[in-house]
Amino acid sequence: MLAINMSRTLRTFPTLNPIRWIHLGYALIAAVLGIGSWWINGLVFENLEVSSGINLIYWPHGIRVLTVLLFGLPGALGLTLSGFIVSSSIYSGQMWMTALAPFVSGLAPYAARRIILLERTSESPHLERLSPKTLISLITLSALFNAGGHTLLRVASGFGENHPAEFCAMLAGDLLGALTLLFGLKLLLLAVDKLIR
Amino acid sequence: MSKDTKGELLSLYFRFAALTDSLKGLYGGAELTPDIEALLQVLCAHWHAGSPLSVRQVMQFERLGSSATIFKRLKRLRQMDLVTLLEAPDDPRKRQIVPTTRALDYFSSQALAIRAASA
Repeated sequence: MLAINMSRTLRTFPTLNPIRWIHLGYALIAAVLGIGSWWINGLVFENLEVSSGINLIYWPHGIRVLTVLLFGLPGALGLTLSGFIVSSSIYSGQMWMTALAPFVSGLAPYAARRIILLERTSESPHLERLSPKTLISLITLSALFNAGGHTLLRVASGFGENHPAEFCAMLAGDLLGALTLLFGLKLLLLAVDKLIR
Repeated sequence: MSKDTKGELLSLYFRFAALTDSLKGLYGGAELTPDIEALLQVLCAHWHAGSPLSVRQVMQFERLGSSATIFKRLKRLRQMDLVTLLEAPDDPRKRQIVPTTRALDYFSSQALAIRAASA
C-alpha cells in the first residue's frame, strides 16, 4: 500500500508546472532574505530598539518592499513564512501576535504594491509603472499598513502599553530603514556604474 | 527550459531592471521629466552639430520656458550628471554645456530601443 502511494507521489512530482517550481524558489529566497535582514538589523541597530519588535531604524522593511516588487505574491508568502520563524522569538508567550503578525509583515508591502502600481486584476510582469516617485509612495503606504496592522494587533491582543507611541516609532522605523536601504543601494549601483565605465 | 519558464525568468529580469532604474533615479525626487528631457535634447543637438550652447544662449530659448525655469532645469541636469560645463577652446571665459557619457549612454539606449521596435 505504501509502495503504491509512494509511486503515485513520485509520479505527480514531474507533472507540477515548472512555473510553480520557480515561484516556490521565489518564496524560499524571500524567506531567507526576510530572516537574514531581520537578524542583521538586530545586530547592527540593537541599541535603537524601543520595544519588543519595534526598532527606530528597521531596514528589513525596505528588503520586504524590494522582495515583493521582484517576486510578487510568492515573495510576500515567503516573507510571511519568515515572519512565522522569527515571530515566536519576538512575541514570546503572545499567541495572537505570533500567529497573526507575520501576515501583516508579509502582506503589507504586497497590498501597497497592488494599490500604488494600480494592479487591479493581475500583477504587472514588468513593473512598467515603477518610477522613483512611486517607489517612495509604495514604501510610505507599506510602512503605514505595516505599522497600522501591527498596532491594531497589539491593541486587540493587549500587548504593549503606549500604542500611539508604538505606532509612531514603528512607522518612523519602517520609513527610515527603507529609505536608508534604498539610498544605500542607489549609491552602490552608481558606484558599480562608474566602475564599469 | 520551457517557453513559460523562459518567459517568467525574462519577466523577473525586466522587474529587476525597472527596480534598479528607479533606485538610480532617486536623486532627491528628481527624475528625467519630459520638460528636462526636451532641454537635454536641445543641448545635445547643438553639441552634436559642433556648436555647444553657453548658459546664456540656452536661457534665450523661449519655447523651453522662462530663463529662470531653464536655469533650474539645467541645474537639475547637472545634478543628474547628464551635462557638464567646459571652457570654450577659443575663449576661456565662456563656459559651454556639454553632455556627459551618461547622457550619451541614455540616447544610445533610446536609439537601440527604437531600432529594436522597428525591426
